Order: sequence, then C-alpha cells, then structure tokens
Amino acid sequence: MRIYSLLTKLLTGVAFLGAISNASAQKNWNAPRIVTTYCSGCHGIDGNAQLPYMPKLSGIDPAYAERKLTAFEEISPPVDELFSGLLNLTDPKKEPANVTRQERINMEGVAHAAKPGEMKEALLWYAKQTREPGRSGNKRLLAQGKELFMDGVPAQKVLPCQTCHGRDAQGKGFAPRLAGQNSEYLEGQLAKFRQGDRRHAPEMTMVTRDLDSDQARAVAAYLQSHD
Amino acid sequence: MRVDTGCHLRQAAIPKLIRALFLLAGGMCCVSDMQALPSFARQTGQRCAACHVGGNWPQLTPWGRFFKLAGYTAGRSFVDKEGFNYVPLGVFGQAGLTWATQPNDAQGNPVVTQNGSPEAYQFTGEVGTKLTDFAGVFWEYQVANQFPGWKGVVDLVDIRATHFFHPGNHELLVGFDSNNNPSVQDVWNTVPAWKYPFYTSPQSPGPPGSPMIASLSQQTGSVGAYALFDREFYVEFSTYHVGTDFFRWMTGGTSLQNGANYLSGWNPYWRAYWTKAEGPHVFMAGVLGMHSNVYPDSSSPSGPTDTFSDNGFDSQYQYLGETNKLTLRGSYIYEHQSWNGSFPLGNASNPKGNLKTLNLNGSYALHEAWTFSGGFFFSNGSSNAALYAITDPAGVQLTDKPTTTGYVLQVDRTITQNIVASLQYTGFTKFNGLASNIDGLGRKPSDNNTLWLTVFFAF
Repeated sequence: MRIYSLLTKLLTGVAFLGAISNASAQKNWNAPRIVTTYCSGCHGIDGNAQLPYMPKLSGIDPAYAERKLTAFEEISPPVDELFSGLLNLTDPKKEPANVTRQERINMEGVAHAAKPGEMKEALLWYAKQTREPGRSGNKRLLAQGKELFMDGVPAQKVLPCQTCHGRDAQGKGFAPRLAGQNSEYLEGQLAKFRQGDRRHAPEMTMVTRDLDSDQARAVAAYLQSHD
Repeated sequence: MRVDTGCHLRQAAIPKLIRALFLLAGGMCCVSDMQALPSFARQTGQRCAACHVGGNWPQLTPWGRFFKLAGYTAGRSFVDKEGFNYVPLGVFGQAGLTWATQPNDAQGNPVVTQNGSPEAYQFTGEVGTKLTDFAGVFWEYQVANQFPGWKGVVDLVDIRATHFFHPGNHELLVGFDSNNNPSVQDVWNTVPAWKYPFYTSPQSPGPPGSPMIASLSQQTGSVGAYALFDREFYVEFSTYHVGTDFFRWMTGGTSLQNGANYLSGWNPYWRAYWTKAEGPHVFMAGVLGMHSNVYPDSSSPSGPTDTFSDNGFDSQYQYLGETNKLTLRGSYIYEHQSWNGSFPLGNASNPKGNLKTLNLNGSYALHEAWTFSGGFFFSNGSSNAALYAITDPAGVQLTDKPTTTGYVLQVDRTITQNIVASLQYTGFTKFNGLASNIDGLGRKPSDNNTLWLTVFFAF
C-alpha cells in the first residue's frame, strides 16, 4: 500500500500546484469561458445546438441578438415559483414582446447570473462561429417547404418567407437568419407566432395565422436543410 | 349574491398563515431569487431542469454532468467585489408513509416499523458553490431519522478543482477531486452512489448483500484525478482512506468503530467511460472498479484484512426531447471476496467468495411535471452461512445465499421545482436465496413489499 500512499501525496501536490496556476490563468473572463459556463449546455460551444428544440446561435446577426439580449435583461430577476404561487403571483411577469414564456423561463436566471457585458461577449463569440451545414430530410417535405418559402401560399394568404428573410434565408434587417436553424425549434416558434406567444412581429402572426402544422413542418425542414 | 360568512373568513385565514410562515422562512434565508436545487440554481441562474432530467433530481442531463465535471464552477461566485450575490446554502427535507404487505412476522414482531404512520426522514443542509473560477464544493450535513431517534451526519462531500486545456481543436478537462463515498463523484445514474431507486424508504427491508464499492458511504475520504477529452472520453483514478484523521471532517457523525467498513491503507478506485451525444440522443458505456482492504472488526482495526475486488460495467441511453425524456440504465458489478481476516475468526464460512449485482431500469419524464420509473434488481453470490444464514425455530438452516431479486416502480410528480411527491412500490420475488419461508416462520418474499408515499422539498 506504500505506492498508494505515495501516489496520494503526489496527487495532492499536483492538485495544489494546478489550482495555483489555474487561478492565475483564469483570472480574466473571456468569451469561450463565458460560453462554456453559461450557454453551451443548451446552445453548444460553437452555437450549433445539439438539442433540436434549442436555437442555433452560430453566425447569428449581432444586432438581432442584442435586441433579444436586452429583452432578457429587462425581465426582473427570477422569483421562486412556490413563493410566487403562495403570494398569488402565479405569473406576475409580462415578457417583453420579443420573448416567449419558455424563453423567459430558460433565460431569465442566466441573464441575471452573468455579469454585465458577459452575455454580449458570448453573443459576439457566437456571431463569429460557422453554422454547420444543413441536414437533408424527406425530399417531398423539402420540396413542399421550398415552394412555401419561395412562393408562399396565395390561396391561404401566406406570404413568401423570402420576402423578408431573403432568398437564401440569411436574414435581412429585422428579419433573422433562418438557414440551417433546428427544424424543431422553428416549428415551435411558428406555432408560438400563431398562438400569439411571440408578439413583437405582428406581421409574423398575420403570415402564420393560416399556416397549418404540416406546412409549418415542411418549411422548417427546408430551412434546416439550407446552408 | 355573495355572502361573507365566518367560515369563509376562517378558510381565508389558513392560507394567509401558511403564506406568512413561508415568507418568514424565506426571510430567514435572506434570499431574493430562490430557485430549485438550492445553491447551484442560485449560482447558475438556471432551473432544476437544466441539470436534472425533467426537474427530477438526482437524474442528470448532459449539462448537469458537465457542470459537475467542470468543478461546479459555472455561474457567479456568491461573493465578489460588488458584495454578496446569493446565499450558497440550501435545505432539503423528506417525509412520508410506508406500508408493508406484512409489517410483522408470524410472531407479531415488527419487520417494518411505524407501518402506515407519517414520518419525517431527514433534514439536510447543504453548501454547494463555486469557490473560484477553477474550484467548487458540495457538502451536505444530514439529520436523519434512525427509527428510533435522530442522528446528525456528514452526508455527501465532493470537492473539485479543474482546468481546461485546448490542444489543437480539442478540449481537455483535467480535474482533481476529493469525496467521501466511492462513485459519488460520478455523473451517471448507473453507479452505486446514484443508481435507481434514487431514494428508498429507510423503513423498507433491503437486500442483505451489496458490494463493498457501494458500502463505504460516509466512512471514507479520497483524493483523485480525472480527465475528460472532447466531452467524450473520461478516465479517473482515485484512492480511498478510512475517514479518520485528516478525513474525519468528511465522515463526522459516523461511528467508524461500530460496524463500519474500516479500510486499511489506501484503496484504489478507477473509472472510464465513453459517451457520445447526437442531437437529443446521448449514449454512454463505461467500466468502474475498486480494490478494498477492510478490517474484519472495525473496533479493532489491525491484523489481516478482507479483500474485495469490485469490477463492473455500466451503460446509459438518454433521449432528451422538449416534452418527452427517456433514460435507460444498466449496471453489473462482480465482486471477488477474500475473507483473509474474517475466515480465521469464524466471521465468514469460506475463505473466498463472490457477489454479483445487476440493475436494469429506466425513467420517462413528461414535461417538468411527471416522471415514471421502473427497474429490476438482482443480486447473487456464493454461499456464506456466517453472513447470510437464516434458520427456522427448530435450528434448521434454510439458506446461506445472498440471492435477492425484485423490482421497483415509481411515479414522481414535480409539484413546483422545489417540491416532488413520489409513490414507490418495491417488490421482492426472492429474498436471501428463498422464494418462500424467508424467516423460518412462513414469511414470503412478497411480505416485504412496500408502498412508499414521500414528499421531498429543497429550498
């Protein structure tokens, strides 16, 4: 057992030295560190979220992202739900128009846990990352989605998505980039526009009002397949 | 027309009182932004469900596993230049009722005490926080119901220091760890410290034999190191010492001289696994093991020791959808026993033996509200009359085997993320190698079956 005793002492020593060197190395926060500790659990380090219902942030337009971030930061700090229930504050908060209830739940704590400026640094990091190539899918579904994206559905008064988001779905002005985004996330957001849970873009509520769930699935699949 | 009656007033007064009590409790904690699993949720600003599958602790999500391996360092420090940010403390409590099929034996002696009566099981205080950007700690002190009486013990300790390296386009996480229970440092719900069922009623009868790797909780202290490469390959080596002297603060309240597993010297523990995440699917396959030297008599830790060599493998598959989450788990541990200390003393019937344990189980979580779990457990091993013998009133030996098989079914309802109510049914098909007459008085294995209703809160 002498070898284990020796090993133990060695490990303790290395741990101590490691801790000291680590302390000096990590004194200054930087973007990868912020992203690793606050964002990567859902959005990935490179912004290509693995979880299909989470948005990819890689290559995101910094101006669009910052508007969203400001909205997250404007929400008051989280209150424990039991306490708010007991105080009859079951849902006391009004989300800003461009934040859905689910986004508020996911993001309000993180936005307040991070130091001022850290989230912005993380967004700039994500804006510089490369979005992974689109994933192919059912050909018939992709064709249907492409048609809808390019031409809309005149009979249902659904306008072509490309009008605002651009032919390559890379985003224009206030309209965000959609190319390569996770289809499950897109489908969820389309449903939220329809239900009025995303209120900041009335034109989206109008456009999606008559979109049925099969059409939403098709356009989401097409956008995910697009680089 | 609304009539305001005295009855109405009384009804209104009760919630007010409850609210006042909770407000008082909240005020005592001095926390304005309380969330879920107490201190780590306050530290990261995230909900329980970020780290725990569907908010069902202690099941971990990929992020929960990474948060632990990264040394609990994500999020903000509880104190910095601007002052205090949050209180790095939390409290847990658990209470419930246990019903056994047959709480008494044929002679009327209780096998399951306090059958059907509401009981408080434990109150736990925890300190869980990042210490710096490279180190974190998790420490729990528990006051537990011993049936009868209450006792305070240090429950769980896990201290980490970590550092990230980036060779080329890769990520290498190196960490150092110290804890008080082999496998409590692990991040998978297949290892002995975190396996399903995650909680059992302290009143329920349990299997008579479990491997040494699963029997050292709160009796040891360790030092170890681990590495995680590209979040896929993990290796760890730790070494455990009896929880005396330097490690005594990790085992406070546990009597090491009275029936404990008193380790001799330093005892190695190892762990390796490979995991791969693809979209919402996460797969893991791994091995773990420990080699322990244990004194046969903890009140007199000297002389020859018993040696336990545990080797196991485990695997887990997890699907994490937004609404539906599924986890399937399996683990097998083979223990080789050398009773070099106990055999000469007559405390073991054979100089060598073995014990095998197998656990297969799974959980399905719906939203952050419901979790349905089920699983089988099997333990089997060589005969050892000195350890497992059961004799009937006439003195005839009925069994000398540890074989025990059964199943556990459980439904959890996450009421708020701080409160979980659970209903658990534990069924035995074989107990101590016997499918009937397990105590010589005609008791069936299924007489030990229990239904457990419990509520767990964490603030």
